[in-house]
Amino acid sequence: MFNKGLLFGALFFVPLVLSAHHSVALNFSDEIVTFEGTVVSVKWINPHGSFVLEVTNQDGTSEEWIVEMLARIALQRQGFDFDAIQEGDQIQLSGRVGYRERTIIFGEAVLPDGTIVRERSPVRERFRK
Amino acid sequence: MRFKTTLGSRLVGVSLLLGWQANVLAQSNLEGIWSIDPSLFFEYSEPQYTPEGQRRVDSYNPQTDDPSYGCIPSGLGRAWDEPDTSVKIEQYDDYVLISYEMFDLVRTIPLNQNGHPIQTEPSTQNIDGVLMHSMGHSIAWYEDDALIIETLDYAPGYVTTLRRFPPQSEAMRSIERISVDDEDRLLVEISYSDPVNYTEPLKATNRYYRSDFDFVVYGCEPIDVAGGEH
Repeated sequence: MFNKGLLFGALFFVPLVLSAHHSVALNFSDEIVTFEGTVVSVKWINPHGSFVLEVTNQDGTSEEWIVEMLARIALQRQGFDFDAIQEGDQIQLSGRVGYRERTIIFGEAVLPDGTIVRERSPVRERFRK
Repeated sequence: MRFKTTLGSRLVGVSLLLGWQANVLAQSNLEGIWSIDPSLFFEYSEPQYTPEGQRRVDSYNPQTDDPSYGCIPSGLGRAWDEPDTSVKIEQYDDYVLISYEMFDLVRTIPLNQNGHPIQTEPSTQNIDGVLMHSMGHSIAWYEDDALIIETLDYAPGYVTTLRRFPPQSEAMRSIERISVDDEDRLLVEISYSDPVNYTEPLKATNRYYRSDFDFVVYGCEPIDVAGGEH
């Protein structure tokens, strides 16, 4: 079980190993953060799925991060389990920080039972190389 | 009344018939639902910008200049470059329909026209009938084993906004060459000529394979980037 709301993501940044000069995305940096939080709302829509993650800082204040995912149609076609992430869930999230304030692009989520949830796009993988 | 047939008129008739047959034979079968081939996708030549083109690239802001968040393609390239959805091609006697699942776009492209009309309307609209000025007006014809599409009257914007953002102006003219290769894959080669932004044509290549998925309604919901709402 996760320690609810404990934010530790901004404390360590892991360089994206596969990133190179062509990997600089337009909306998200190469910095990866990991933190824990509670899913407060989910939208499985096109052109991008997303959910809001509420995290609690070490000083006790909370803030909401918008987590951007692939389009619903893309998630569907790769067999993504839409029930895996639901409102109220406590998850550990890793992803690349956006240039817009408190935005992050989904990397992977670890559920309380240890299940790892990923989205997969072969094209995105190609871009990362 | 009886018409006299001369050798000349017979030759004209035969040549017309042969020409028609050649035209029919030249129409390779592009029909089907196609998905992007990640092994040949998003291949753009290195843009050779004019000073104005470079200025437009330098001023691009992904948060404010990408209409994709509003379910609008930035340009023709953005529609072809979309990796997560399919493209459907339907061939008719006098026109071709190209439907892009992304944003529910449909291009209606007349065949064998005598040039573009003086007053053009965008060839592409979405499921609600909203015209896509960023994708210009297109006409097409068959040439050898390929469908050739000429497009002009683009609204200013960006050819694509997927990782790169080459600009387009109202002066841009594009030529798409669409064919099927020996392995039954769709090859889309595009040349963009735009004297406002480029000193040499910008070239792009994408390849697609026959999709395993049904073609579905995308149902795009605009995202308010400025307000931060998703």
